[in-house]
Amino acid sequence: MKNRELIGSLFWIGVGVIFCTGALKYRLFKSGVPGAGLFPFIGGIILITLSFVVLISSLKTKEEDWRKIFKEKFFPQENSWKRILFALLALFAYWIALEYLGFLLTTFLFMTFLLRFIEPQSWITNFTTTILTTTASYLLFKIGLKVPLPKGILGMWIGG
Amino acid sequence: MDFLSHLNMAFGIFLEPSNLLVCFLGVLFGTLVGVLPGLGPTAAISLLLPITFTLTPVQSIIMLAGIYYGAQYGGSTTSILVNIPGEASSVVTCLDGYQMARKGRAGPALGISAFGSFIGGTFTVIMLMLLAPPLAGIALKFGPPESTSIMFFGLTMVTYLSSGSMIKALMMAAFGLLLGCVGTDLIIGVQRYTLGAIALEDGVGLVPVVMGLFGISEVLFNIEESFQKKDIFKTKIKGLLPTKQDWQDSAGPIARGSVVGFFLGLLPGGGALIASLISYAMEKKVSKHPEKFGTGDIRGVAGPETANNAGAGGAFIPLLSLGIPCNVVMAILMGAFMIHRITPGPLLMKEHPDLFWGIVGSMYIGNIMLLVLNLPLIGIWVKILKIPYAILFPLIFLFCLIGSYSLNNSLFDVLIMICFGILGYLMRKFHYEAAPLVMAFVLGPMLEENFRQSLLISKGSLMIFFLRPISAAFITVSLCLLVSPLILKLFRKQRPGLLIAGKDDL
Repeated sequence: MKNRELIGSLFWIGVGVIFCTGALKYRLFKSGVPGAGLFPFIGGIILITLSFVVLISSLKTKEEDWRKIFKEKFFPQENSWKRILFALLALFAYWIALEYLGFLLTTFLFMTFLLRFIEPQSWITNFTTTILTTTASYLLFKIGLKVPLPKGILGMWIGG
Repeated sequence: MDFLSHLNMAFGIFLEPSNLLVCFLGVLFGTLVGVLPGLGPTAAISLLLPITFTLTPVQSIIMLAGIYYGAQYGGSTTSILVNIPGEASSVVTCLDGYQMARKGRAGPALGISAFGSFIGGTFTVIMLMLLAPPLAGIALKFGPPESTSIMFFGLTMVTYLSSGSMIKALMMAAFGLLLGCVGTDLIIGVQRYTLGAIALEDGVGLVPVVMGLFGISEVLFNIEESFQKKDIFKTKIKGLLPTKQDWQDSAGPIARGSVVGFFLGLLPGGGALIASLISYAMEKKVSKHPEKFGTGDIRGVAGPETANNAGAGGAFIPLLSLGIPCNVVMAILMGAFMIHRITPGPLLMKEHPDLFWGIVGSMYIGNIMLLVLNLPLIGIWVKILKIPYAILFPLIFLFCLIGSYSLNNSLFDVLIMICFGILGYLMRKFHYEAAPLVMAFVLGPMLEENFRQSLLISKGSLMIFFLRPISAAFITVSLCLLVSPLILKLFRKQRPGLLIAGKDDL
């Protein structure tokens, strides 16, 4: 847990430093009145200061004491990291594939993958759910709400 | 205009069929997400935000409001039947509600929570009608220094009342303010932190941020562990109407719950969750038989369930009259207002009376719709409870992905959403809260504008915030709240890491 506190505080210090250096560029004051940089500079300084408080107190606290405070491990289950990894892969793959494969095909693959690899369902449940949700979301967003969803290669074949 | 003519106007707007329909859809969806564990009202409103953009401003706000108070109704169903809170503000309902169900009294438990919610909800709508206009009148006289200090107070309260570490909550508020700075500066027009990306010139979008922080991260957190079969109570639910004795027992808790919930809802950082917790604690104190609580006492259901609805309603008052969101759901609603180019606040009632009174009217009818939805149709909700999470979670993902895409038909928003989903997940793992972040993110641009305008008036002197009485009062209270944990620390020997670790973790 100590590591988590350390990493967390260092991360936020980094974020604060980035925003503060940016703020200096946008000028803190311009001819006596606050400029565009003043507000983010104050915000950044607050973030950095508080992160240091977390950093220092995490260095002072012993690991055993942390164990008393935070009981849980990072992942509750041995294969948790795999489940999270699969989910993130699916999300990023959807993001990348959407324009190329089009909405229908991407959604179909996305649903099939998630229903198969995180908590495996029978193929019947998998395909029924996938087909139902793909169709329903297409009807809702494309037909109902008129969102111009990407057609991708599948759309080009059909000529739509 | 007097009370009755206002009421007349409210119903006039509201009874248009299209408005009735969106209100119905709102409360229906609200009940649905309330019933489903693992999907809270915040996530639900984030998910539905993109859909409401195609509606008129009045309709979109009516729908979002309906989701919010509908979720308070639905949450109790899950608490009572499955002993899992459908959403956070129904946590205490589990204590006595589930015990009642085990004793075969699931019906009256569901009944009294629906009636209590109805009474609490209606009470706050009346208070909203009575209180919001005069409050807005006072707020009209506020200048930039007053607005600045009230927003500062609101943010302070949210961090002060956060369930985890106050320092971390403050850090998240600071990060939220920084995030709000991204985009074109409102006063001079400089581009800030856009990294040259055109998509960032209008700032980071609220919808992808909240969808990521509340939708995606919630799912990621839930799928870590294998899903357990939910143990749904397998008895026929009969006799939803509470008996005369039940009513006698519940009258006091419902009355007290309405008042307490309402006032806690007004408080920044308060809202439904705290209202229900306080109500339960209070009923236990007031009762002559506190030992009965936790064994299936109807008072332990009636009080908190009334209070969380009253709290949900009360939270609308600061938003609609002062323009200050007092919890994260209100902050998202405020974002929804602004996407429709409407600024909630003292001018709302003057400039958009249809909107204000439309919301009020919808809350009256919405509460009646909820009563009908929740009592006779309880069987449907029980069936929905049986949908396994393994099938539900890909759907939530999909909704987030398409929803964020549909905002500007851009993949950039999708990427932002996924990134904030990962950030939100890690924040939970590292014990940082997302609510102060979102509050500060929404309030940030306004806070900055008012802050800078105040300094323009005072020619750069911070004393302006202390020289005007209203502003001075809010700033002083905020500073006291911020310093108080430090002072307490000096007087008390502390366990290691208390400031850092959440109160929940100890």
